[in-house]
Amino acid sequence: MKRKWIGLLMAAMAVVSLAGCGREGQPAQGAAPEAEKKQEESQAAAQPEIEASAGEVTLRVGWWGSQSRHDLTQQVLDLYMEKNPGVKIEAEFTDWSGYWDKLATQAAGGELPDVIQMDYSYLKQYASSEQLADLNEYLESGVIDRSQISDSIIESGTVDGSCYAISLGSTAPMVLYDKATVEEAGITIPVHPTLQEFYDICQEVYDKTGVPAYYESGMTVIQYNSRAMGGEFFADALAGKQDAIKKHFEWVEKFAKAPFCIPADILSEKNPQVVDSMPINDLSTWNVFSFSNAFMSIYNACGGERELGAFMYPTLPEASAEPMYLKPAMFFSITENSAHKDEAAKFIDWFVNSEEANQILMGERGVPVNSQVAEMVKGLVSDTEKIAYDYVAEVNAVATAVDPPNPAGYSEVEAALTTLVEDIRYGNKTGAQAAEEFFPNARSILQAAE
Amino acid sequence: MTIKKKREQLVGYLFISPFIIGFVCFISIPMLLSLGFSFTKYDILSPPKFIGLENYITMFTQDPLFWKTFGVTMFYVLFSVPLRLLMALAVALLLVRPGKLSAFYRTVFYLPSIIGSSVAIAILWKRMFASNGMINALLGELGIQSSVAWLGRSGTAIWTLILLAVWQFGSSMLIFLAGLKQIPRYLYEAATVDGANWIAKFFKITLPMLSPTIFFNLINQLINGFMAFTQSFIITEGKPQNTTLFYVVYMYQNSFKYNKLGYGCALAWFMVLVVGGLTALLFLTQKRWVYYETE
Amino acid sequence: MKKKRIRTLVYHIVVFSFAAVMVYPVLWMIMGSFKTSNEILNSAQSLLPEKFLLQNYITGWQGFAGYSFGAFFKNSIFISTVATLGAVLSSSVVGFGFARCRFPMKNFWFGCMLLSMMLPFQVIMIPQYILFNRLGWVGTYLPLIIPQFCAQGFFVFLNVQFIKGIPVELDEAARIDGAGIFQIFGLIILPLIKSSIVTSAIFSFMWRWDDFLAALLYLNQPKKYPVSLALKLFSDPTSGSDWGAMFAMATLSLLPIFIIFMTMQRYLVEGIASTGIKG
Repeated sequence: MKRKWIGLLMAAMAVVSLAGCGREGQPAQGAAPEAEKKQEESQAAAQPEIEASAGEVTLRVGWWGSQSRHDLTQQVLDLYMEKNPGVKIEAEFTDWSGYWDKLATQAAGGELPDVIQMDYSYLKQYASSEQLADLNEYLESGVIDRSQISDSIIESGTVDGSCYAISLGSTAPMVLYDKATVEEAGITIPVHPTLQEFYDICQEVYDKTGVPAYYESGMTVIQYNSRAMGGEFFADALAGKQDAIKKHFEWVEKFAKAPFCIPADILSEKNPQVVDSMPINDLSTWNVFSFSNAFMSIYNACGGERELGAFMYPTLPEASAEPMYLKPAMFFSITENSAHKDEAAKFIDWFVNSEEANQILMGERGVPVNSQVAEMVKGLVSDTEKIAYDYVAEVNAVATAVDPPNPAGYSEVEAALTTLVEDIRYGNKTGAQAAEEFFPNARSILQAAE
Repeated sequence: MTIKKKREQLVGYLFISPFIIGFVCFISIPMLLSLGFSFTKYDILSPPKFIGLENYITMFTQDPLFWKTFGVTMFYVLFSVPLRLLMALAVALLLVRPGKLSAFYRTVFYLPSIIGSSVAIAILWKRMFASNGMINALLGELGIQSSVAWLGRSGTAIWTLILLAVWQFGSSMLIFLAGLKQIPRYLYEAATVDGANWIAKFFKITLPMLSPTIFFNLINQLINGFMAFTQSFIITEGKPQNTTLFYVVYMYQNSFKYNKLGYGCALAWFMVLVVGGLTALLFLTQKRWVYYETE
Repeated sequence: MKKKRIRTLVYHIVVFSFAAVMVYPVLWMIMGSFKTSNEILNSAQSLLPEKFLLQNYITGWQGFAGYSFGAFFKNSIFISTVATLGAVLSSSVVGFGFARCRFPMKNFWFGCMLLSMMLPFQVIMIPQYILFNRLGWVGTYLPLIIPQFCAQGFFVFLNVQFIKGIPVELDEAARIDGAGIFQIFGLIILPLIKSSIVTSAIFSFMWRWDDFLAALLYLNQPKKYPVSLALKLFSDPTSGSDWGAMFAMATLSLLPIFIIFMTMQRYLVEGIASTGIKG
């Protein structure tokens, strides 16, 4: 009986490892072009007019996003196909959460699209498990032209010395606030306040207008606070450096206990992570923590009429380093199982560097990384949207290098942090207790995930 | 005799062959694989590594969220399943009498189940139970001033999900209706002749004759209750303080968000064990209260 | 006579007011399709929109990247119809086998069937994807349809319960009249479990219509997407969502299920009584 059991397990494992091989190359490689051909045939049958111009190469390009991103990107793909009759591009777009489920499944089956939109939080996992193609050779040979792209941006897509992803737009941490409320309180907010200054401002706004404030306390901010102390959160957590983490939780508690802070249960029913339900939308708070590329979306979610201002994330008063940074809003990567890496690289180059593509895209994925293109797009956008562009320029002047891409275990550490922050906000734990609990927990998650 | 018996067995297998083919081809292999994964460390992106029972040991000894989410799910099942079934049965009994409006009523009561677990429901539920939402407004009309953030308090959030489950009783109701229709009318006629009142009819005819349907709904709702996913996933996202984090959502998070598919599979198989055990228990009690014509 | 009339009136008042409570959220959603996104998010109390907007239907229908909802609806109708036919047919055949035939390992297979209902799809989706990928089915509708032809546990179980409620004497009488097992199935049992078949059909259609996860995994090209998956594309946590358009299309997507339900539910009314069978 026992032997039979083990036999079954072995058989199951064999199937999986076979599938694993498929990803590495041989069997699935053979199958993939065949499947493509089949798809092409059915496509050709359905749309004969495309068939005439379609040639040898079919690129599958995957991304997540909203309706406008789907429409704009498809327009750009159509333009590319028009200009490159030898290339046919099949779009595969879904919503954000479905995208990652699908991508993981496709990766397991060795069926990833040729070009995939990548997020900073997933980059390291996909790169280090050899799902992504090394782009260094294309950057060196100039197939992907980097002459107008700053080194730091190329660096942000790099894992262990190889570039695996090209940023499609830059974004920066940004606190958005309702101008009318702050003006009513008669306050001018410095563009780069310390936490103490921010705390006092919150108090004053609340005293004068009664509108509560919000202090984000999640991963972005704990990482930000670690940067301010001259470290890097994940390295610190692994090395046993607790200063910044302790300070973070102190401030979380201080804000949670402050009378001006939005009550925990109200905050929980809103969701400050999702644009549509941010507490600033209905003035449950006068501010919200986000990123500059979400500026227009939040502006629209607030009704599209209220004036919004922006300032940088507040910094620990005892900061020893500048924590502000620019980070890629999202990337394009080429997958390792792609049979058309060269064509994919050409496409990415055009997508990032050409004016014609970006005239259509209009910085929908963040401020374009090509500095000339960014200038051009900035000239085209509305005055409101310029606020975000000016802000990014301001951040650029002070920014230090972004943290390396999130390690495996990131999401789990994030979940642990979220729970503890909630505990503090609901008054079940003190900041010190939470810090004490969080530190060993985060460390063991990170060690296990390595 | 033996030839006849063989033939009968063959015919039996012929009838269930679609299921066997489907089970062997599409379900058993993935199922065994997922069982296999539960003994591995598998992040989906790179090949699985065999680690023996480690996932199961971690689950029971080092993972407070495992117990927490299991408890949350148990609580949810314990209240939502009986309430939903009672509601469904009551409404089905109300609607079983033929009438001009009965088709209309059936449709209306089934409507909430039609809109199912769409995103629209998620938004609606959030708005209804918001601190400035409809429920509090209604309470205000009744003279009870309330600004409770129903979804933001650890005591109340789970109840909003239970309420949603009860509200969507349509599918159980439909099955009860079908079952009620199956009860031969002459049984009631005979009882009327014997002078039985409606209470006697209900307990002596309706309930026993309906017991196979009740049994079916119970098993099915039990399984569904444990597998509940969307409500927690799209409405509350487990908040606040993980009090609405369902077991299956936690399993999903482990599998895809934390890239621990091996651990996720271990969680899943523990649940299969629990649900399977409960189902088996119910099947054992079947003889005591479920009435089949064939037996 | 008068007493009966009052009782009927009370019955209707009770049922009707209860129905109104039940249906309010549904009406709210339908009305939402005429509101702006902001109005949807900020008004739960008011049912009627400030101004009836048809714009949501226009922008929603346009769909994404040139694929309109016309295409998505066509896909959904195709998938759901074929899958439902398969599920209902195969499940009634299999249900009969479990309920009326005697064969070895019956309990084992029945257990397998229940087991298949208990395993969360999320844990078998990766191995299943690998399997379908090896069969070359990824990118086609086959993974969404073929498994449905292999009977669905829920419907099999439902049919079993109903068939068990039919007196065996009926079978025996037919057997004495010279009917074979296939005739018993087709001529005696099948008509008698009409209500469970209709119920299965309603559920199957609805579940296939709502299922987006299988479509998400197995379909790559947006032009093949069903409505359920397309509806997801309206929402994006990082850049705001067009709720108005989504509500409009979600409302439209209720129509086919609603129509199926309305046409099918008539058959639920006729029970065993109307078929004239008496034990």
